[in-house]
Amino acid sequence: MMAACEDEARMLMRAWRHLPYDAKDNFAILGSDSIMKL
Amino acid sequence: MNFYVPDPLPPGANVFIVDRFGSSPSQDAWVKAQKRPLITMDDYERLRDSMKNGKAVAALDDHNIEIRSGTKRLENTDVMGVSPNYAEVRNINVEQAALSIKPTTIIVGKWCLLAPTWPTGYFANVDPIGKVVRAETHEYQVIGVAERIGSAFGQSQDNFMIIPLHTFEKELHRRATGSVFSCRRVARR
Repeated sequence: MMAACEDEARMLMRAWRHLPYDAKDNFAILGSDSIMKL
Repeated sequence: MNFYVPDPLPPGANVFIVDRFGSSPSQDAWVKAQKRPLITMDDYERLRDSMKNGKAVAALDDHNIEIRSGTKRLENTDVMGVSPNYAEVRNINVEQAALSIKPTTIIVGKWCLLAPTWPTGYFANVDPIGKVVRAETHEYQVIGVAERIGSAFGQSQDNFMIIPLHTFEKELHRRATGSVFSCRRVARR
């Protein structure tokens, strides 16, 4: 459920910023698991 | 687990943050991230109005400045301009609060909610509610004191002052800072 919510926010932000499908995000999404990815 | 759990995760675990920089793993990544566009109020309002899976979207804009009350001062305080639902999304509880707060005051007033370090250090023997604190050249009336959060990674989280987002944008906003949104996922039924 959390991943779906994050994906929705990412999709909306990418759409508003007109990012091509293969471009990296020009924003960051930090969840509770972000510390573990460092 | 074949039963309904309204909020099964501990506070904070069902929240994520949309930020301009994120956690940069290297100096190069940090330098590249400086070129990213700012996250603006328009982004916040669009997310708030469009998200279907999120229970709430809150906005935060902040920077560290010196806060003063009378002759006392507290350096490097995190002054946060927040949307009205921020405390609910980030689980900030209020320990003390003034009784007469109008809804319009919550959105645009010149008030502040102090972290608990302030009353113990600066208003030790007096009631902080109703006192005035200054940030840069602006004055804010204290309407509440937040509950202690504690520390994370050895750093105290109790050195902040919360003011309304629109007041912050008008008086303390700097273009380079941008805003951060916190989204809380919906509890499905």
